[in-house]
Amino acid sequence: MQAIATKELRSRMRGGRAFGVLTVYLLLLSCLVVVIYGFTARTIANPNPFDAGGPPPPLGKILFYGVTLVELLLIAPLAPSFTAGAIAGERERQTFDLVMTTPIRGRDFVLGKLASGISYVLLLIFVALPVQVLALLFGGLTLTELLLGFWTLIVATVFYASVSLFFSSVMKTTTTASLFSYIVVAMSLIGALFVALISSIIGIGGPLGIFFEGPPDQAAPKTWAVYLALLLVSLSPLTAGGLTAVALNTGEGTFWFRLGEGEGIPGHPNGYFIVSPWLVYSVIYLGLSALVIFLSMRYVRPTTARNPNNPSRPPVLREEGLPPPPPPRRVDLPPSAAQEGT
Amino acid sequence: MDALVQTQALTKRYDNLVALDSMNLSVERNSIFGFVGPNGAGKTTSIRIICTLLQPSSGEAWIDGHSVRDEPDRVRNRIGYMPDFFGVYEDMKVWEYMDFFARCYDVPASKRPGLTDELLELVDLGEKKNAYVESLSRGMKQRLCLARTLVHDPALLVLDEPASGLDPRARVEMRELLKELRTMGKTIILSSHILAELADVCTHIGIIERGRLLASGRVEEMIGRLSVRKRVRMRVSSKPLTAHRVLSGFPGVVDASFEGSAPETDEQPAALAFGLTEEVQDESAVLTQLVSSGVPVRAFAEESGDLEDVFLQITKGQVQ
Ligand SMILES: Nc1ncnc2c1ncn2[C@@H]1O[C@H](COP(=O)(O)OP(=O)(O)OP(=O)(O)O)[C@@H](O)[C@H]1O
Ligand SMILES: [Mg+2]
Repeated sequence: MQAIATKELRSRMRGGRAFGVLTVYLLLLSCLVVVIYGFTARTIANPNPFDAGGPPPPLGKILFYGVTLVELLLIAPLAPSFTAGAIAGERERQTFDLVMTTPIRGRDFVLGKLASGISYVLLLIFVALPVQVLALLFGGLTLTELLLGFWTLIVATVFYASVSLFFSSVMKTTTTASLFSYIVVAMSLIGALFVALISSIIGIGGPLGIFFEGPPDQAAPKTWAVYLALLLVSLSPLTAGGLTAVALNTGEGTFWFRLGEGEGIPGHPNGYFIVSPWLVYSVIYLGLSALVIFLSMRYVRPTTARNPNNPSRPPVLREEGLPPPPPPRRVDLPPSAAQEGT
Repeated sequence: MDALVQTQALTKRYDNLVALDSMNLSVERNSIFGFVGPNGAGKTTSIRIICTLLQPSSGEAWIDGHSVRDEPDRVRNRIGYMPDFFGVYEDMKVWEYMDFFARCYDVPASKRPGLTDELLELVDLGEKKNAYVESLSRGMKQRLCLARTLVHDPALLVLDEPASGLDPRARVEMRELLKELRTMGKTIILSSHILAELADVCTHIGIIERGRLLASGRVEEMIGRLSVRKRVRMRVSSKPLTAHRVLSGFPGVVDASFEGSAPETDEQPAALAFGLTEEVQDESAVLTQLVSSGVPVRAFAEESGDLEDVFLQITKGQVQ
């Protein structure tokens, strides 16, 4: 794994491209901070007449959520661009076979590629950290929000990079691998809008009778409908992050809370027990990442040893007993330890 | 004899195409074995199976007694492979390229720098150590790839068309390099579709066509059978079968055959051709023998032939 990661990072950091991307990225974020600062300062000075009232959100919060959102939108296309070509590109450039004739394990190959792809995106997230800490200084932002925002970005990065790497291991060309990766990434982000729509239908209105129970004047969402909505919301970092933020800002718990507690929902006096969306989102995204990484390892080295514990022997050696038969092999040896001769 | 590579009924099918048909091969230790065959014969297919890149449809291959299907990692540790077409990583220096593969083969970190220098020196790329791989010429890349195959000190080198794309001078250098590697104790399998190129460097040759190993053996034997210095064509007004029998029994005459369809009776006229090995200095001895056996020889002419002709003839004759 180290071999692959070292090699990848060496080539990536060589030349101006990596630093070019970094510079553009930081410039974009800085511009954003200035713009948000300008707008918010004005809005706070002249409150929106259509606003229902209440204090406007503090500058720190707006700055933080704005920057985190833009970071997510920048990372979304960047993460696949570093991993979608990682394996398919080796196939295209005919370097893949050379690596595959070495005893390197599929696991090390895939994890090395993943580590190098993710580490650069993580670098981008880390260099933006000062901007977010700045938001903390403006006041209004809690440390929990900061950490959860940071975590959401990292989980999204891991998932986007893993999915792209998976397509890279399955597809023959970088182009198709990129295409499929971007489709998944787009669904994860744009799909959020549909999810928001659907869950608002489930959660608010009564038009979809099946989701509600009780007489019309005291209808309440069915329990499973609430959990379905939670699941859908957790499918996208946008909605999961957004709703977690809403929950935190209305004083709900960080990890779980009761939705609608004390609101007198008919049949649900204690509301619904909800695991915070960011937690569900993390479990789904990290679980899917683990699955596709596992599949990538299988695709990279499809040929597995048929019967490693009782290997077939060439006929001459067996019949004439020349050279002496190898000693029985220990079964519990890991493949790496078993590599050195008999 | 102790064989480093053995295959048994090795077969590879692609849908209904048999790319490799029950190949039984045995490559002795410390030999240079050349695969010869026309395009699409199955050379690359068999090489890729030996290198564990391709699963055989049936049959087995063993390298140093280890099965490619059961112990691929052990096989990989014993083989250095150079494909017919390969790419190099961009943005990498020559020494980094070597270092990367040394790591893949788990060469300890302390040995890697010295090993890299040593191998680059061997293939005459010592001065290019800090150059970028992509800046190397085709021949240099080929040599770099050869150096790369040696990082884990494998017993067997498998080189698919190592001379393709090289100019004549580089070919000679490549050949010298292979001979040097043999003196270092390596066994080498290489492929080519040019027989003459192999005859010089190889100790053993295998001829493969349409997935079948037609013949294999020591180069001298094969040259005896194949590299006929002379070919003779002759016509007889009758007794073709007698003529064929005489020719087949004559030491030093190889591949006696009828041109066109074989005659049914001994009364018909026919045309025959046969090859002469070094053993026969003067073909008049053959003629004398024929005449004294009562064969009416109408024409008897030497035809200039070289390795290629014979090779083509042999492969053509035995493929249905
Ligand atoms: N992936 C594949 N799918 C289907 N058929 C294949 C595949 N790979 C090879 N073949 C077929 O197998 C046969 C043997 O191919 P192979 O590459 O081994 O030939 P070769 O002897 O190396 O030829 P060349 O001198 O052109 O390199 C060919 O008929 C080829 O078309
Ligand atoms: Mg080939």
